[in-house]
Amino acid sequence: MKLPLFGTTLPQLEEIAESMGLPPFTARQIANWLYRKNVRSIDAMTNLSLASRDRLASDYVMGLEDPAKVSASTDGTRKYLYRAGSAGNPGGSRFVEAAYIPEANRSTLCLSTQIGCKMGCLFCMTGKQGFQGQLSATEILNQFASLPEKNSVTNLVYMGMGEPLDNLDPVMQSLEILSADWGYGMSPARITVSTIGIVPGIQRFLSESGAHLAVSMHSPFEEERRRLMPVQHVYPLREVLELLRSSDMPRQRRVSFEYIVFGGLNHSPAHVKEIARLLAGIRSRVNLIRFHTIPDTPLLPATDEQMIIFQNRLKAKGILTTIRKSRGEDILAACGLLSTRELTSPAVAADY
Amino acid sequence: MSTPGHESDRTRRHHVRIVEQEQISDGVYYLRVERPFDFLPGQCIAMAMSQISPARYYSLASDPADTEIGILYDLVPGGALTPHLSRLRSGESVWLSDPFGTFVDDEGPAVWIATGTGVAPFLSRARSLAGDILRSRKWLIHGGRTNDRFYFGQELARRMPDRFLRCCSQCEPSLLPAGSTGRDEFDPIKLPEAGLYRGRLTVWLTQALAARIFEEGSRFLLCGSAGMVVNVRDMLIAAGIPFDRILSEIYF
Repeated sequence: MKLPLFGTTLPQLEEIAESMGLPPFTARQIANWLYRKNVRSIDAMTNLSLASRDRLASDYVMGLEDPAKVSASTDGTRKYLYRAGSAGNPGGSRFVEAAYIPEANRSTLCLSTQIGCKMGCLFCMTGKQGFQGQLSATEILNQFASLPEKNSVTNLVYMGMGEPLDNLDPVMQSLEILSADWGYGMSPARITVSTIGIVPGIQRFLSESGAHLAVSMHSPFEEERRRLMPVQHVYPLREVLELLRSSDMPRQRRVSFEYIVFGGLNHSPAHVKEIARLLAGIRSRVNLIRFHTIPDTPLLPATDEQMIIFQNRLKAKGILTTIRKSRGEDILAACGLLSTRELTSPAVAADY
Repeated sequence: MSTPGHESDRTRRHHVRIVEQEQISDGVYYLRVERPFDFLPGQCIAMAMSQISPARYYSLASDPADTEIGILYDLVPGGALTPHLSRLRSGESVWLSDPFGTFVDDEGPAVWIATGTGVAPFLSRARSLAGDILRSRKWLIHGGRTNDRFYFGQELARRMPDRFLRCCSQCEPSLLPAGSTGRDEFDPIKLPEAGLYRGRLTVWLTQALAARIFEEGSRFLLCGSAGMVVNVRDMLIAAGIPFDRILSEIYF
């Protein structure tokens, strides 16, 4: 099986060049073609000799794949479906979704990092499909590289399907390629990685990447958070906050706490007080998100009024608080709605 | 010894000696090591081959009163830990973190639902709980594809007669009685013969909920694959179980 060239780092390309007997500078040339000139074939790398290109093509494929389908929202959001789980071998039968969200002064691409998700959060459709596999760095970056609107993207968020820090190596590799000067050269300040709070992953992320971090809070109370997010059993919010408090982060690096507001559940004055207590000493902001109802859930969305009251109360405590505008809800591209469950058949018979 | 609870230092690792390791089924192992700390049934540890190598998390499966700790695990081909772990023998050693986690049951009525090695926390609880409470207030429903996936099934059946049910979704034909249609009928009064239901856990559970066989106010503790946890949780909620009575532990 041929391996994908796209999604490899410069050191990996140097190893490939050496193993093939190609000149050492070939690695930088290939990186330039892949990440700056955005070629779609090895043949197009015209400053490599024909012999070098043939040699590469004998063992490698590009690994890029166009979206299989696109859905367009009335608000301009586009949801793209990409094949996955078949790195370097098109035609696999698993898929992930990515959402392109254009606005007046920025355009954001929301990337997926796993096929499905293991974390089982009560409010998320991706969790309902279970977990079918990890995305490689190639597949994570392909969502960006093969996006028709690629040249318009100003910001990348790892907030799609899956828990990024449960797929750490490929995610870190993709971040390296995005921000390296031999890669896409994108400012880390334009990239945000979201996590439900995988503590060891956060440690590595903070030490190796300059991208922003978003942590899913959804409740400041341990018992309540445990009911919404099973991860709380293993990595309680308290541990995440201790880690953030003890980490030496530069001023320009922000942590945002994502907070889905559920009607009648997690937006009381007691919640405000506890959030303020927990976030004391952590340079952060809170991003309130509307709950997008999913099937078979006991949770309800908050009203606009409830959200604004909650926001104002948090601001009165000195907490920078925004309300995220819901985008792409009509095409199931909004927060918590991505799912390829119907397209993905289980690899093995269920034991339940 | 350190006291149990969630205020643990997961960065601290204990160097412990292996007492015994046994392969109890295809790709499934039970490791016994000396116990360096106290813990509560339902808690986990991080385990690694050295002080600095990547750790993986496992529920503790033994009785907290035992002098040894038991860890039940799946061998993950190509994994960072378990291929090496499975080759260790008595006298060799591993590194364990302090115990942590809050997937802890109380003495109230509860239904424990597990798939595969997700039975581990319930095994620990069953081993530690007084027999009268175990047999009157707890249920254990264990799902598996084949009959060799019900680990410590005989011990659990002995500890929880009439309250421990194996749901075998793809049981071998030899286990089926002559003339059988291939699936058991649900009986709200009596568990299937030998505590083995030949069918899906979700099917049996749906009927059990409809027949109201569980004690009023029961909590539901789920442990196993993400797929099972999410599906069963949805089913429980659809059956009217308040979601604050559902606790989930997902293995990842």
